[in-house]
Amino acid sequence: MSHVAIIGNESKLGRQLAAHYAAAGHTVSELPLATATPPAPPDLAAAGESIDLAIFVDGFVAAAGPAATATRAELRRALARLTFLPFETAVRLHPALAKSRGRAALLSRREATMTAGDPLGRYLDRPFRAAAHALWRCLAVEWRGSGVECVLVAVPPDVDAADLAVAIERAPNGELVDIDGTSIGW
Amino acid sequence: MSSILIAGANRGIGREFVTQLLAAGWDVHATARDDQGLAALPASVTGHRLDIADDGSIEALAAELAGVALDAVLANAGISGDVSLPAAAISWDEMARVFETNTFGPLRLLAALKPQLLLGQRRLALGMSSLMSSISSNDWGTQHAYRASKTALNAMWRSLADEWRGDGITCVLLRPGFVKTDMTNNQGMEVDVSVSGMLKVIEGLHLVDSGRVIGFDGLDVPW
Repeated sequence: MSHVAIIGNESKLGRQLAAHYAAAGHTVSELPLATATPPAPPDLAAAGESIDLAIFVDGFVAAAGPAATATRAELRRALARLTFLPFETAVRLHPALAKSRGRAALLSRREATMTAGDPLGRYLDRPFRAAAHALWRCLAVEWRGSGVECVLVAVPPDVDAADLAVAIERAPNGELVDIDGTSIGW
Repeated sequence: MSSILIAGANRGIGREFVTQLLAAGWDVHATARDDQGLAALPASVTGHRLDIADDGSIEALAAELAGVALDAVLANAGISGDVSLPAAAISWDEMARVFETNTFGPLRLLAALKPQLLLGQRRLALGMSSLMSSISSNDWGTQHAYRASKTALNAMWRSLADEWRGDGITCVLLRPGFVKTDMTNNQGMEVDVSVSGMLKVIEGLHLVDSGRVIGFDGLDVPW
């Protein structure tokens, strides 16, 4: 029995993951991701004293279009939501994660990698997920000594929560893997 | 004669680009944020005031350059942020400040100057990346905001390369290496060596290179 925190329970996948872990007998804390700019970190009081697994899930969908249409205000909102807020929340959860030598899992998308093509112009999504990848890698390196692992899983559409839970459990520290556990680079 | 606009040209790497490009016979437009910076530019360049973190400033520059053909635009302006901050001390203001200059500014500048690039022959959309942008090379952490801003810039340039390929615009980021500048407390290689290497890269660029991040040594920066 472990304590699982789902950060981003306003998303469909977040709710599915919460239900999956609860059904499996784990204690589940659910936290929303704030959308304000500047962002306000979620209330962590519900997270308890120790966390075995914190999953960051985001159903954020940004508009796509030509570079010239991406305004600075929109870029800031995407930075807040997709990059800074997960990073800051993970950092705040670090003491709770360290108590159980747990792991922080960031759910991302293959489309955020540098090798993916971008025919649509996802300037308000891709760069900020990629930046979050960079920060997760930083934390993976820096938190090795505390026993906390930081993993990343590229989630396909309509993924099954049980399959995703397996992928999260098996993902290696500091790498981005697909649902089958294959490292897909950055 | 080829023409270029260099954003952030009054010191460090940008200033050395000005020197070497003038020597190579380029028509150079150079920007600085204030009068002191503009005064530091050679008389043989066309100086422009620009704060890359301010869209109004970018729009004013684009208006100044209306109808001017540019073979290349180099978004060189950048900041390191407070690289001494541990992860727990990085505020929203710090993260946003670094992204405004390092990531949003270059995208907004190039988007605003696309008409000038389309009037040019070589059509090079250039920016400055860093080894710190490389996630796979990160085995020591630190410098969170700077790293994230440059990784995001890489991703933006990848998207820009896809969008602008049909216009014949080559979108490439350059990696200067660890160079003696204010940002590095004057440690590292001599700036003329780095810029000389990057100019060699620029001279050899073609549309097929669009989307790459290339070092002063000609080597690709790993993602």
